[in-house]
Amino acid sequence: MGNIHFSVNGNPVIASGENADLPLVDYLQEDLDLTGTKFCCGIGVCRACTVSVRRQPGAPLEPMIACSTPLSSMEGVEVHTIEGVEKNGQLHPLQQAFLDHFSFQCGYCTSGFLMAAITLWDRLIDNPVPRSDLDRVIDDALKDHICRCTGYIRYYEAVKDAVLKQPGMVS
Amino acid sequence: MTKNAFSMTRRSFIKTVAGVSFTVNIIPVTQLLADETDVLTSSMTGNWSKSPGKARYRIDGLVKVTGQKVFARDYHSWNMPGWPITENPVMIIRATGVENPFMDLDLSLIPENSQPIEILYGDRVANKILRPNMTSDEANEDNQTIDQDIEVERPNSLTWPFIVPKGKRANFYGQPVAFLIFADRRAYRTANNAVQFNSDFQVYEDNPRRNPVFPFQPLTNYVRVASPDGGEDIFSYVKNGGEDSYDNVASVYRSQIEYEMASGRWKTYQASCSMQAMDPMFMEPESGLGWYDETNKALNLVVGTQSPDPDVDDVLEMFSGPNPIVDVKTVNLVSCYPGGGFGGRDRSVFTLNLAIAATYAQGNPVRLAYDRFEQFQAGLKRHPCELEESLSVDANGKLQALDISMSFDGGGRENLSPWVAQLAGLCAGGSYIIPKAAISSNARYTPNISSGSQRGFGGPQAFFAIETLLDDIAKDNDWDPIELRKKNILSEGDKTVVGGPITEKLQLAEILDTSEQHAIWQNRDADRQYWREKGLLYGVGFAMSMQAYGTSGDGLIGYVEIDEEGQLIVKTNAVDMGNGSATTLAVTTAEYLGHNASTIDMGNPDLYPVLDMTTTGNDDWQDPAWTANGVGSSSACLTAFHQVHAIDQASKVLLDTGVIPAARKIWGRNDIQSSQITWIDGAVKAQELNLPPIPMKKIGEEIHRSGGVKAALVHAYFQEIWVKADFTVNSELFRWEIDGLAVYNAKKAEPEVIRRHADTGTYPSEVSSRYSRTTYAPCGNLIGLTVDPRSGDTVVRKSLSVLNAGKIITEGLVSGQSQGGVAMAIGYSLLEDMPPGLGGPADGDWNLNRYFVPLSRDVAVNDQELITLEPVETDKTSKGIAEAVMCSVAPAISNAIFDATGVRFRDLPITAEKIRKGMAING
Repeated sequence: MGNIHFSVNGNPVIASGENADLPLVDYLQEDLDLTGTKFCCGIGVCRACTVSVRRQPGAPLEPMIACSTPLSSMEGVEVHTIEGVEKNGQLHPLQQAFLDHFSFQCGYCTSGFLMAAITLWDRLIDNPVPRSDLDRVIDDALKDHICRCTGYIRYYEAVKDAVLKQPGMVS
Repeated sequence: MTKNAFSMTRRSFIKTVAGVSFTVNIIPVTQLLADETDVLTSSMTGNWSKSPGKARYRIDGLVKVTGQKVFARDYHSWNMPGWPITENPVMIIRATGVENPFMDLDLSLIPENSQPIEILYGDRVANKILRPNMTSDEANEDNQTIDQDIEVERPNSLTWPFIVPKGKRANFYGQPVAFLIFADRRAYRTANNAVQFNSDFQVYEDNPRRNPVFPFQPLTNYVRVASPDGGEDIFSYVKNGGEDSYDNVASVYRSQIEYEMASGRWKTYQASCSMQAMDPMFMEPESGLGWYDETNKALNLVVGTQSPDPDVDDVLEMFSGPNPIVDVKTVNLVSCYPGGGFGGRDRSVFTLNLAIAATYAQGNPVRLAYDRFEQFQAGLKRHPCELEESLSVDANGKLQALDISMSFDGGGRENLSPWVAQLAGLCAGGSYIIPKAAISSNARYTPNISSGSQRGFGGPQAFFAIETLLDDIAKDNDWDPIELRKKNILSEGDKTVVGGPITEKLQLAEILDTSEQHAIWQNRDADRQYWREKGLLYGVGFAMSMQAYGTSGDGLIGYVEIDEEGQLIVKTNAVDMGNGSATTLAVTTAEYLGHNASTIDMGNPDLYPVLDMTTTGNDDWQDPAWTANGVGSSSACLTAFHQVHAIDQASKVLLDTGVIPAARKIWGRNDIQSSQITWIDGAVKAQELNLPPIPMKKIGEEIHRSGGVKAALVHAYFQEIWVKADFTVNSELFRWEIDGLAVYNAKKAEPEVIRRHADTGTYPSEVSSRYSRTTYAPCGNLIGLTVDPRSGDTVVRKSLSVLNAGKIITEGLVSGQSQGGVAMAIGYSLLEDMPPGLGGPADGDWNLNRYFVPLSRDVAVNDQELITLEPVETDKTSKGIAEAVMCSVAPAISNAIFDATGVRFRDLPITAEKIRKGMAING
């Protein structure tokens, strides 16, 4: 296979085709030294390795399970990881909410929850939902993620709080 | 470079093990990188500190929420300053057979270009074949000591060989049979793909024989007969446990209790319970880097462990033998935040395996990073438990007698199993007055994956038994289950089943009242009707626990320093597993010093050696250098009460010996006492005196200018009470709740150790060493759930936890711990299961596709409530609450299912299949 071209946090990357079967999480961690995306189960169940991707220009962001996605399927994909969320030293409102709500303890699942929530955030910017649907869409975004320390409630509350504070995301 | 929360000066100390002296450095990884590279310049803690004593968010929050490198798994050799860039991945092959001798690996299954560059079989590192507690079958050839070339000494604390020698049977599933070291990632991955799930890779001789099963020592045997008139016990472990005849006399009383329970005098109820093994399933599989630096004779390890002190001790012991594989003079342990722990990283053998691999890698760094399959196969588990319990109650609803026998499966390598069984013995009595109790509890060696000290430490198993039996009793007698509990609860001055005193206000009545008045309980009939109309059975269950925290004797270390800028620095040997220790300890300084710490430095085993104390001998409190316990492992339940006390007292010492003398000089008033000052807006003020407030910065400057006391290092010891002792510092006499002290003068390089006065002070009584525990975090749980009568599916709809956590330091941390405990307990009760032997993770093919941990939908994420009781007036401190909430969830769920279906389930987890079968059998 030839080289694989995609981008990570806005930076173009070229991966060797020899690594076509390498999971994205390994490439991020070992080749790009972006270790914020976590390896946990390695079989796509726990979602700790979730990154947010845009499969083609203009497409909405969607979550991707980096432990179970080989580089061979990354051609042209725009990848966003936790390292790219903070902009110019400013935390994203979701990051601030995670802090304010004591959402995590050990923090190993945080990256996955954050990138799932970022994906939801991106969608709500373009497609606000009725206030009455907010709990459901948050649940849709986070329900498959595993947290072993804090029992989920504080992640849910943080996302809801951040979304409600951001004008225009609920109708 | 900007200073950050992990700031420290590089520390080293000398440690002598088995007559060999080593230099040891303990370095937080973030600090190492901040000091020596530009990698971590943004590892700031941000604006975490809210106000004195309060945290806006976790002190480690910012680095975690921005994805910076804080976990051992985040690092490779090329991230480590001064290390060679090339790293060798390590694969540990683990025994999938225990009945037949291990013969070899079939390396032909690995492609030629991906063969390991080094293969480590057991013969090279196992100097002895030893079994723990050798008792009955010494004639068995597997138990004979064999001498071989000794390249790695086996630490005394570790049972069984590191690696099974060829031709020998593995002692337990998951015991390593070989370490394979690979040249690079590509070879490792190719080999892993070829052999990971290939049963032909390990070759065993067909010569089956079963390993004997036997108990780990000591066995727990608590028998108590209370005096009928409420006076001194007739017999108890506390009263008689120090006598040589205890076990013999206890067995006589045990027979009498059993005879009386069977006599028909009271109604006696029986239960058999079975609890499964449970994986802590912390999110970061164990990972680490190791490098033996031959030039400097230094072994470098990068790990995330709950027990840095014991790990370091064991590593040193490994290289203290006569013919070590490498000459180790220095051990550098680079500590990382663990990605979860729950007891699974407490004395895990992972660090030792990493050390072995590093020393056989020809000078290259190695990386040992389990995947989840390996973590399931190798990681410490919650003990499976089988128990039989009988509980007698009189016609008035007063509990009279308890007879229980508990057996915990400790698995292969002894971890903390006997102590888990021992605490379960205390917990067996629940939260109740029981005049007669016969409790037998043991943990046994089996060939299963090793069990450890997982969240709850025997409590979840023991509380399950008594709390489900109480509901059976209530149901059979048509009593209200909460009212039944009210008649029997322990209060201050009562005695536990061990015979030890209750020395605090437990607030059990308040927990019961609050639960009884809650909507989940009050509206249960209406809710039942609501769900019935949807075709589901609804039930509500209550259960209560008073999980002890700490151990029967805890030694703690605390260090507090003020720098020239007036900033406070806290150091501790404690590790933050994510439970918030770092945050909690950083705000603890505010009580006496008016400020939160700006720097918190965790995981320092080098502090205790400074005090030069000894633990040799027994109860030698007359020796000013003696203490009963130096330092232990870190567990979440040790933070809020124990570790906080050490930092609190170090702050008090610094106030008395550093801050007050400086303030006296600034004010020109030598008569000012610490009791006269307060902190207002960050400045020290003298109450009632017309003196100008002094900013902390000025205090810091004065201490450093005049050579005052800039830092205090204390050792505190708790066993029923905190040791209180007198110390003289700079000609002033002080009494603090500590037993060891060193002060650091701003103008001197070395600290000054100050011994306590030998002839004064308050020390624990000898008998209190048999109290088992005296600190409790009581909790009640109400669970409302539905059962689908067709599928057996159970869904928790509502839950309430009523917790006595004492004084709350950081609400977000307490409730997060509580919610996490509820979730884990729901998994334990309904979802998480792993059979022993090769039917379970021992086979190496288990992962989250067959081990189901709770998701948000399983934990009533929108209808879960925590009520923390107001601390009583005498509650000056917080309680360690890590596992408190977890202990009563499982019985509350069983009771709720009983309420919903009329069928009692005591075989955990209570799966849909079990419910379907149970309901079918019971009509």
